[in-house]
Amino acid sequence: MRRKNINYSKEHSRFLARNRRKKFFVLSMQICILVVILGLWEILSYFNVINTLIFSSPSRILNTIGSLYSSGELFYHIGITLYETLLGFAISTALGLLIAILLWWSETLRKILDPYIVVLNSLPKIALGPIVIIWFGAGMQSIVVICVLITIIITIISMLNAFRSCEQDKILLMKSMGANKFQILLKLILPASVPQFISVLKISIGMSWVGSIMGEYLISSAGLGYLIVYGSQIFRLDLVMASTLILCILASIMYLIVSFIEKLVNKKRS
Amino acid sequence: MEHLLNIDNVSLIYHTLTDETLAIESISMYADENEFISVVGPSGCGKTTLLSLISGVITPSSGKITLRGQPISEAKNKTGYMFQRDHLFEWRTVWQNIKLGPEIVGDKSPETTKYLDGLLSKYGLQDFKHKYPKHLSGGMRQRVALIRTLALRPELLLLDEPFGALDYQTKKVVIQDVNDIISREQKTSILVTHDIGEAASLSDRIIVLSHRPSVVKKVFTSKLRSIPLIEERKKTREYQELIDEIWKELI
Ligand SMILES: Nc1ncnc2c1ncn2[C@@H]1O[C@H](COP(=O)(O)OP(=O)(O)OP(=O)(O)O)[C@@H](O)[C@H]1O
Ligand SMILES: [Mg+2]
Repeated sequence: MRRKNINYSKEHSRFLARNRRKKFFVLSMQICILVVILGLWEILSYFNVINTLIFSSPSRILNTIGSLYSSGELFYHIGITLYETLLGFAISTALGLLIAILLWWSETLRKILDPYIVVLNSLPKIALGPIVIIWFGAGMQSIVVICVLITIIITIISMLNAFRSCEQDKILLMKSMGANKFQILLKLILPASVPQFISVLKISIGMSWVGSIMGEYLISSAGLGYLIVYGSQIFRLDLVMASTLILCILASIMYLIVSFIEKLVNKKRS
Repeated sequence: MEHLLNIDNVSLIYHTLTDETLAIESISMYADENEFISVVGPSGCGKTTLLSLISGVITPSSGKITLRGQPISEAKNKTGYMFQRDHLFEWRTVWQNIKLGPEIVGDKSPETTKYLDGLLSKYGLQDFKHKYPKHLSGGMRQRVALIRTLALRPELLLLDEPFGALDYQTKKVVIQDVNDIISREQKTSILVTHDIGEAASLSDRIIVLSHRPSVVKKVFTSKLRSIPLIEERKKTREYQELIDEIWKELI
């Protein structure tokens, strides 16, 4: 919490100033590193020390993004990848949460499904790609399914863990007040698991990006993953780099949004 | 006269895959209206189990527990539980925390709201009504937990080492608070504790349990509760003698 108009002691003011300076130093170093790398990259390619055909260059990447934008392709491809990612993310979060709740609800069901979950968890999901494509067709559907496959297991396992780690005494307290299982779920288990839910979101949003890009690698028709594969096939590294850069930015924005939600939630709790 | 609570030859066996544990052999005891009873006994002798039985969360393997002559399994919400940790829900405000019980049973009556509001003011928590638990001190949290327990107006309070997790200074204050609240609200209480001093200074009767499988080993009575301040109770001769005698039973 930051409060203005408070008279701190001299030492504390000095401490705060030192802290501010340190923060400023870290930030400026971070920017510095970026500028140096980009600058060096640009200069070396400008003087043909490195081959721009293989290494591209910052200005060429920006130009590529510019021309993608003016041809209207930029937002088309971003839109498609974003759509697949968010849809896969939403489905796997909702479905994963539902399955976790069912597994929490029924001890027997959990025991029955346990080996399947273990196998599914250890399996590299991308190996299922070809099967998924045959079943769901070579289109967006398959990409979303791959995305869900990659993301859902971690949601199920983490949320089930969170539900099961709820303190026994809290459950006993609810029971002693006459709560039924549904009330225990709604008033205790779910709200108690919100912090874990948010850390799962952070992981699964990243997994969803992996899913949609992998899917696009396999099925390639449009999207940022498609641009990357396509660019590498026709040896246009500018396109590959530009798409990767956009991907970086999008993924970071998404992560920041989840982190922001996390901060809001944690503010209330200790 | 009929007792408020009657425990008649109750035993309990825990079944696990590897073992079966006879936790309680055969306990008979009672509690009268407005009484404060402490249960002391060696670690693992089945004190928590006894409270769970009384609350009806688990059913005895044999024997009978009745509250006002009614089997405990039919007496819903007649008992209120308090634990070693306050177990306040961090995502709820103080007010939402103490409304938990009424919410569960679907009690939206204005009387309950008024009753709880009254308790908050009476016990110095009105200003914290809409604060979250993390803003409260350890003592305040325990008071909120007690009010939450009182919200369903239980006839019998079950306290499972409610002071165990507090530091020395807080503990002194909380014990006095809980003692005052329970006396003023006239609640019958059963306290489980490791601390003989707590038991001797707070109770009308002290029940000493044996090692597991537990049976009632000895019952002490005390008049100390007529003295309002617990610190004063602890200065009396009676208190010292009581402690000595309980101690002898435990070793
Ligand atoms: N759910 C359970 N399943 C199997 N055994 C149990 C269970 N709960 C308790 N026990 C066993 O029953 C005995 C009594 O346990 P209980 O928790 O009632 O003792 P306690 O007197 O409250 O102990 P403490 O002083 O440590 O709080 C112990 O030996 C314990 O291991
Ligand atoms: Mg115990």
